[in-house]
Amino acid sequence: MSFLDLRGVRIAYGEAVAVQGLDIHLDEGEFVSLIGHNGVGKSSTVKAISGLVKPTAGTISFEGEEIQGKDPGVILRKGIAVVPEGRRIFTRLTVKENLTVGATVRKDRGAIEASYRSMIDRFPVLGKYAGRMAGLLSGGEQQQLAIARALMSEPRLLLLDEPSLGLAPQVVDQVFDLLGELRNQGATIFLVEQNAAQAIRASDRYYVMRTGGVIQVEAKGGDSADVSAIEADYLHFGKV
Amino acid sequence: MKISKRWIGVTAVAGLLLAGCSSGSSDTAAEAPAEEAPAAEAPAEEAPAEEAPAEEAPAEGGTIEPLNIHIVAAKTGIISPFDIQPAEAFTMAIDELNAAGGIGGQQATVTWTDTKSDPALTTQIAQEAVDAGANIIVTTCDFDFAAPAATVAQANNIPALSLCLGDRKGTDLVTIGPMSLSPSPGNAFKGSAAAEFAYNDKGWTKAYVLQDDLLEYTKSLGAYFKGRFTELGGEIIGEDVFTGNEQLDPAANVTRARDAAKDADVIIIPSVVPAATTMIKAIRDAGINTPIMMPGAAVDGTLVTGAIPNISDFYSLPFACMPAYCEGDPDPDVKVFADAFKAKTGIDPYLAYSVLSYELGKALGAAVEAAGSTDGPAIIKAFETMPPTDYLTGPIAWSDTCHHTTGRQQRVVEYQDGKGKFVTLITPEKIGAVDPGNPCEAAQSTAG
Amino acid sequence: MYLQYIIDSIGTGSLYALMTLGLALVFSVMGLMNFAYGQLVMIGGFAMILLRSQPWWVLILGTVVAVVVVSLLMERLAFRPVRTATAMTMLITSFALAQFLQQAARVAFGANPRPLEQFSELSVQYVVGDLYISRMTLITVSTTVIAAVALALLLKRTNIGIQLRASTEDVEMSKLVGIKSNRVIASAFVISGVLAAIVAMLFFSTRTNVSWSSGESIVLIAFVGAVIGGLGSMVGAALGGFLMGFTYTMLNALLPLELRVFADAILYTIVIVVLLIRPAGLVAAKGVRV
Repeated sequence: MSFLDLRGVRIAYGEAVAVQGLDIHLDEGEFVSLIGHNGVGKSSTVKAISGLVKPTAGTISFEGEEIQGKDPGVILRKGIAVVPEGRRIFTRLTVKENLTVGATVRKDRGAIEASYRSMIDRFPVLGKYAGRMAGLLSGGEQQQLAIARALMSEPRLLLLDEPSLGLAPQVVDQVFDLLGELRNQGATIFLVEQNAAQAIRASDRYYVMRTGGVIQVEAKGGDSADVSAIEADYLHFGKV
Repeated sequence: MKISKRWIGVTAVAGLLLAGCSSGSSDTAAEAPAEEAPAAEAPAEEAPAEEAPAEEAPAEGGTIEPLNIHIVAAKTGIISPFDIQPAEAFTMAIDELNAAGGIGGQQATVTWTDTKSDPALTTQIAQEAVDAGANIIVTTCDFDFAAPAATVAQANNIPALSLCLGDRKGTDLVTIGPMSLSPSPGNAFKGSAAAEFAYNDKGWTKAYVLQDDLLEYTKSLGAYFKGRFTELGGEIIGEDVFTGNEQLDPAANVTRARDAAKDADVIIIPSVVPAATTMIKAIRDAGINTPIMMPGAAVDGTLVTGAIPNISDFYSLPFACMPAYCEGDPDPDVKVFADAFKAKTGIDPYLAYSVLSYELGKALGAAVEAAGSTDGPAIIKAFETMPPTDYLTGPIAWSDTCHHTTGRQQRVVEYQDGKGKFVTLITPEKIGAVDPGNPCEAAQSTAG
Repeated sequence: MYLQYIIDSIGTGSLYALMTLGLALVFSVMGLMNFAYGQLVMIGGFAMILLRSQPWWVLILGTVVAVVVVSLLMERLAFRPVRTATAMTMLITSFALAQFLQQAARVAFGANPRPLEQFSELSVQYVVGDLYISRMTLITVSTTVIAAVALALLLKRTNIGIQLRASTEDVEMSKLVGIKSNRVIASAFVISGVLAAIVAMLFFSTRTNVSWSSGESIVLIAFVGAVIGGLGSMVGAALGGFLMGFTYTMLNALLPLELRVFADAILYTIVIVVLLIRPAGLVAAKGVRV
């Protein structure tokens, strides 16, 4: 039994089919990436897992339990937290409030406070600007906040949608460094990215998604020699 | 926005009118026939002397058709508060006539179709009433909403009797035409009566006028008070204005009045509730204890005493002093009427407008019998020529120049410690010379 | 005299600010301009009439409870089913609901204004030098300040407040962090109901009568106040409402007699000018960076 298992997932918006026959699986502790160009259905996949979109066919199982079509809050309570595309931090809340709100599903106030402490240890900049409106943070800081906010729910699976989008290259590096660190600490990560090279390098396994929903499965990334070949492959798919 | 707020105010007035009018219907079954007797006789006496149509009246007398009365007024919508209870009061009067043998020996029928306060629908309903054989159309208490139905009635030579409208456009024989008529004495009459009471009876010579500009009604009351008061030699020592809608904020008016009205003998507030009571309360709360007078009937009754339980030195000019809130009306019929009204509706009449619609119903019976015909112009002619008759609160009459009532004995009511007390009857000697086009000015002036 | 006018105007402004806050809160949480909000105030007025003979604390509590219950029912029965519909659908729902509540009040309480016996305890004037300050003005201003501070603390310091503000900004994201939008929106309606009840008590304590149409002008004031203040900003709403009331009374105080009856028209002209200069309102929802 896989940790997360998507089988035959089809997502359609009226007549428009975004994803067709998608099969993906993740094991606990794995870092898996889903790469592909804009508009191939990556975001729809994230939305389906997080509960914002209901698949029109297929199943999504988390620890053996089907979760497709469930409420986002329910799915979050089962342990899947999302760092959405565009970060979507609450700009009119302070940094601290953003983190507090990330822990909405938890009850124990003391434990939440402890998580907050450890979060500002990990992200010192968030501690520094704790009382500041989050909208005033830079792009990279906002991305850190978005990830920290997701971590505040103590997820068992972290779902990231395009975390490198719109960030300066060295900031992107920092983001991937952070993801690597999290993985090393045992987190299960499912990353959806256009930035194929870095995603492949960072992850244990990856999937390539093409227009029309066909999935190319590749076992084992992380080997730099393979990366250029895969990139070419990936670019090729993109041009079809 | 402004308009909608005005409508809120209008509705509030409507509430008053309806409350008032509804109090006017039933009791007087016993004395009604007695009152009608002279009315019925009078035209018969005049008829030979007068003119051809009148001479025909006796001939048609045996052939009075059953009155088919259609009330074209609102049961719902913005204007319905004007209409619901007045229409009930009117219907009570007709019921009483039917119980006493009918009108000209015929049972009258009353049909009330809801206009939903929609002028276009009002025209249509009036037309349908005509098609259904209506020989009397009863219109709403407000000119603007009565006009569509009155126009249809006029075009078909059917009397258009308003339940209680007080605007002269509804009765000036020109705007709608000669078929339109109202039991109200009109605003010129009330404003002038208030001025005469203030100057002659109370000896007040300095008035401060705090004018509500919400309605034509409130504005003309104020204009006639001022006109007549200054004619008499009184002085308007200051004026202020407010808009009596529900967003009224009396603070600035009160602040101003504190200085500007400090030498006044009386503060005149031509207004309507709820704005009027809000304003009066604010003035009293500010420690200004100058007498206050409303030169009309719309700020009166339990709407005042219920809201300001200790109201003092307040005067109003209603059509009757209703027992629920006022002691001492000189006409015992008023109490009989109020009791019968309560017996029928379960509610004390808490304003005095109801007497108007009730009197209209009684007068209609008399007019038809006097005309000896259900022909529209003949009925109107009878209304114009009937001698002053006491249908409930004192003798009233219409004339061929004035389709408001003349001769009405307006009551003055004084409120002390939250209780109303009858002060005097007043019929103005002269109508203030404010509006040269007012056809009732000469008819309603009894002096000079 | 001018100082007296300013005191008068502060009283009106405070009341208007409170009116505006209740409407603006629900708008900021769910994008709903709830035109039935004025009817909540009207219902509060009728509750006061029914409870008039009770001890003061029963009157206050009962009025608050009555209005809050209606506010919650409103959310549950009318707005929840259309929450995912377009803004226009919600707007029309709110108009229909306002209409329904008005007609229901007419059936229940009659078409006439109903007198509300005024509270003689509140009809007290304090004289300070040349100035007159009524007890009601003091109560209105202090209640507004307390209510505004309490609302600010609630939004700032409590979890439900933070969740409310998060939902205000991004409903979808707030679901993704596990905020239960039903609960958040219901609490917005509760707060809005409490504010409407307070407005009712302050408003009708000087207005002598309550009628089924009493809510209309209130929602109009609140709406315009919220728009000029800047939609989505609670500070803006309070400021917008306050300025509406303050300006209205100042216009009544300072305009010459012939122009005074146009105070409404002039006020709304000023509103239009303000919106032409600052289309997003005086306080555009701040901190928004994309």
